[in-house]
Amino acid sequence: MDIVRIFKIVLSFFLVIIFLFLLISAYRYHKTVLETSVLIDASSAIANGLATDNLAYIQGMRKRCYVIDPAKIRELSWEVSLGSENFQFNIKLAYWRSGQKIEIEAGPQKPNDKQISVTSLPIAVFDNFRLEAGSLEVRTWRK
Amino acid sequence: MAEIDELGISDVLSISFMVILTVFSGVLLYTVQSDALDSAVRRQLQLRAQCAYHMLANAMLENSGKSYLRVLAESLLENKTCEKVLVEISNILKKTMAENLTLEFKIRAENSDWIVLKIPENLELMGDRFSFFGCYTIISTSENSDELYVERFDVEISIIRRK
Repeated sequence: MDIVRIFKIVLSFFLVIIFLFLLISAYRYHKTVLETSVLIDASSAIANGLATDNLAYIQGMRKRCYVIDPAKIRELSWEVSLGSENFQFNIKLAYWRSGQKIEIEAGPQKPNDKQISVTSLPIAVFDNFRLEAGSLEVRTWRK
Repeated sequence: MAEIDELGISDVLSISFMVILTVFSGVLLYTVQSDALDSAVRRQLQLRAQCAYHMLANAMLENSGKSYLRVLAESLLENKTCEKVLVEISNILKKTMAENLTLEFKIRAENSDWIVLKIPENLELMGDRFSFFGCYTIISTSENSDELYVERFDVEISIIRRK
């Protein structure tokens, strides 16, 4: 009858171990999901901030949201603090002038060992007194 | 009669219950938490729909000093064919948005029917929609008088995430 008792204890122990393993694994998964979603939100917030504020073209005294002035790229700071976390980003601005694609890349090199979120927004770009259609790609990572 | 150390029906039930509980708790732990990532992606798609509207409202059509929406709105006002502008809008949305996205662009003048542009064409638009509604206005004059009219156009841009 000892075998039955040992069997019951081993099985209960085994189930507890499985449960603990599941709990730890789920916690790690949860943490990764949260970190990724925070990074995506940070990337969206940075891209939106660039389109509506930092890179917005100023016409007269009026800031034109969703119109980007490429001349303002050199004034940008590539680090931003959001929700007590520090993020770094770089950008790729692409637009079409008379059918020819123009690409401007700026900012620090993206690291290979860190999680990166990419946000691409359609945008208007001020170029040579015209507003051309283009896209703003923002790559964000944790500092 | 069963002895104390025998494996009875109560032991089998409690062990089965523990196994079921472990499996269910594992499934629950994984499924409940996966919503945060999807929510962030949804917010990003909504932002992209909003930016697509503003791009069309601001960016100028090639060889024209007017924006895509303005040229389209003027064509609708003058009852001209707007096929060419719609092709240009389709092309620029394909260029500036990711190519694998399914988009729907709609415009209508007041009390008129919607003009619908699907990208890619002839595709069943089923799935989650992330729409941005904009109101585009232009000021026009009539031929016979100096009176100014404000013409209003409803514009809707949707990104459809296929299931």
